[in-house]
Amino acid sequence: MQRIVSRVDTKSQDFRLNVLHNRRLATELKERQRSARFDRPARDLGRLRQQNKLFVRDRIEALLDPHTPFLELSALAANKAYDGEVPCAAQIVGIGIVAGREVIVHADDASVKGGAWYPLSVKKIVRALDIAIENRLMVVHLCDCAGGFLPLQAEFFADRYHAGRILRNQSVLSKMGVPQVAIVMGHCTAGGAYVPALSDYNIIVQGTGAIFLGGPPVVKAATGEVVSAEELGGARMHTSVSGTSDYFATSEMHAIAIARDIVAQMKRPTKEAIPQSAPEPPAYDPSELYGIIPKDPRAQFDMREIIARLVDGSRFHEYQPRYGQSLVCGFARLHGYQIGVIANNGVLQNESVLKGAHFIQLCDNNRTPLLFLQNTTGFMVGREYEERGITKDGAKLIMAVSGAEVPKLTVICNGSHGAGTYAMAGRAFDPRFMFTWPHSQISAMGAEQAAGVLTHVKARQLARDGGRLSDQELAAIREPILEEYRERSSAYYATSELWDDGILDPRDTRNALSIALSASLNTPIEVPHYGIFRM
Amino acid sequence: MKHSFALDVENYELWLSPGQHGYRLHLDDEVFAPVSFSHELDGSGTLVIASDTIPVKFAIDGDRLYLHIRGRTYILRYRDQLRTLACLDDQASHLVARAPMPGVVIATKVSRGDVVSGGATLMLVESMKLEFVVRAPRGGVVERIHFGVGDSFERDSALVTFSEEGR
Repeated sequence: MQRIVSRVDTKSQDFRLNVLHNRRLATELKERQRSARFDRPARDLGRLRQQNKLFVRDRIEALLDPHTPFLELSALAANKAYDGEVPCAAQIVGIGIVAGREVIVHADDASVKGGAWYPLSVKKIVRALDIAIENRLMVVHLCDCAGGFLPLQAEFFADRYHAGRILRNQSVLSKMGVPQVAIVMGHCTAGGAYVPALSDYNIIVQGTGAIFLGGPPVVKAATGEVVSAEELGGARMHTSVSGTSDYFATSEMHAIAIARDIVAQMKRPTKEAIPQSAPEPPAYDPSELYGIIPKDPRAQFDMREIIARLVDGSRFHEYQPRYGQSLVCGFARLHGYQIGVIANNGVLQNESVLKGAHFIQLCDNNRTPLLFLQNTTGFMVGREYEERGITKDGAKLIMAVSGAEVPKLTVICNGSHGAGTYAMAGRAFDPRFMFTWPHSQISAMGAEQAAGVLTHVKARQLARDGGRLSDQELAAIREPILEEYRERSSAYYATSELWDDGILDPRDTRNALSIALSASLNTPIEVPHYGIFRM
Repeated sequence: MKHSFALDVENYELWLSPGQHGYRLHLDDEVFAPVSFSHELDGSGTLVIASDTIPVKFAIDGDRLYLHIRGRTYILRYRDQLRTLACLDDQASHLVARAPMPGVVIATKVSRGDVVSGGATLMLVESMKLEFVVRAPRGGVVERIHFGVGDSFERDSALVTFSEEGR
């Protein structure tokens, strides 16, 4: 495979300005993540200490094998919701190593609103279990949840992907033969009671852990019976009388040691055997990504420069380099694993779309996982392109993306707009993992264009009533539209709503993708088969 | 969660992680690398820690590791986290021996005020035509014997209660 020859001038003024800008964004990201992970009101941390409970991050650290990587997912979920008062959506989810096995950790964070489930908490847990199902990953649940946040119950209770889906996904995992271990470290009430009960193994901590369908206040209100939490659903009762729990732990650390011992008994999954070679760092320093990603999101850049800083040895076997050049396709290696890369290098046109659809089928036939690098404003519009069947060709790419059986990974590297978001394996197309870079914009239409359209519509309405707007009045309509549109197209908004699995510092992308790719190979890759391609 | 070893009276928490060349040894906040061990026959081998290469002799007996290095013998004890973290259970519920099933008392083997140790025989009971022994869940002083010979009891009934005194 040939090494990409970078044409970037790392000494140029533009490069240096980009570095300054993107480093600032990366620092801001790290600070926001730190704050979401660790900043808690002293009162809440004090209450945990009083209850003799560890902070959720310490629980996870004790659970994982020391000095192994933990890929935390959606750390900034809910950062734009609930006035920012529910950091991480009160849930910690990530892929880590326990007793030498890849697992998904799902932990309630009792330092946030007592670990109450908000609508986005539920979305995050459902997503964690979807990841477990798609990638056949064992799950360790650390349960410490006060129950659902009732004022918002209409947004998380009854619908298909609401809280019931957590229990459904747990049952599906068990049926698939993917084990789950739950540790009951706080109260598991009502729906939450089923999380340990539906886990193949569960451990309950004496004193703090309890499982019941209705807690003591509910029991008192319903039947008048006065009973303590410990008597009603404590560790002794559930391990020796009801059999709801399997293991009795005298402390949280004891429970974690038992969980590690259980995971150590599980058989190791056989990974899909895809071509693999010895890993090799990129020939170009991934830190140079900071200088390549332009300050101005509308400025064009060559995606090969990004690829050169992600893949092994910066080596890239480009497919059809002379055809449909606005989509770059080719083979590369990521930490030794062979992958197919599909990257936008301009607006999607007929040729590039056909090339993409063809390349996806090549990779699918060859059992090669796909990495999509998005920087797309969508498909080309206009009479000429419609006549040449841009919609028809776009449908081919979407059919290929939807039908491919190989694992798909997606990174939004800059813009993600219009049908380009879909055709490049957006969230709706079930990429196994999806990440976003901090400066990215995600929306149906670019902010400027959308504000233009919306302002135009408004002006026409007024014109019908006989009015005419001055430039000033137009600007007064346009500005707030633009502002709100920008806010809701930002990477932070996207990750807040769990449209992705987290924002990545561009420099960390290679490592994150490698962990994701390794996890994705737990699931056997099916034989390729597709729907009808419109020819 | 790291592994735990005892050497004399000191405990050490440590972990081996794979490094680029051999293993890395993490001890508290320190890292030693590379670490490797080549096992030759008859309980001897060569240990490499960072730049040191040391011939060692060893014998493993259950959780104990006898190590002969540089003319001295060390005894390392592996502390199973499952056991060491299961702290003594001081909850009141464990001051009671309970009935695992309904039955009848055949004999009581202790009296009020007796000091017993964990596992001591307290009672003989019969249930479903089988005899079994009720043992003390932990050490303590017998405070109350709830049933006499011939009495019948239900599942989960308290049979004998202890107090902390005299421990």
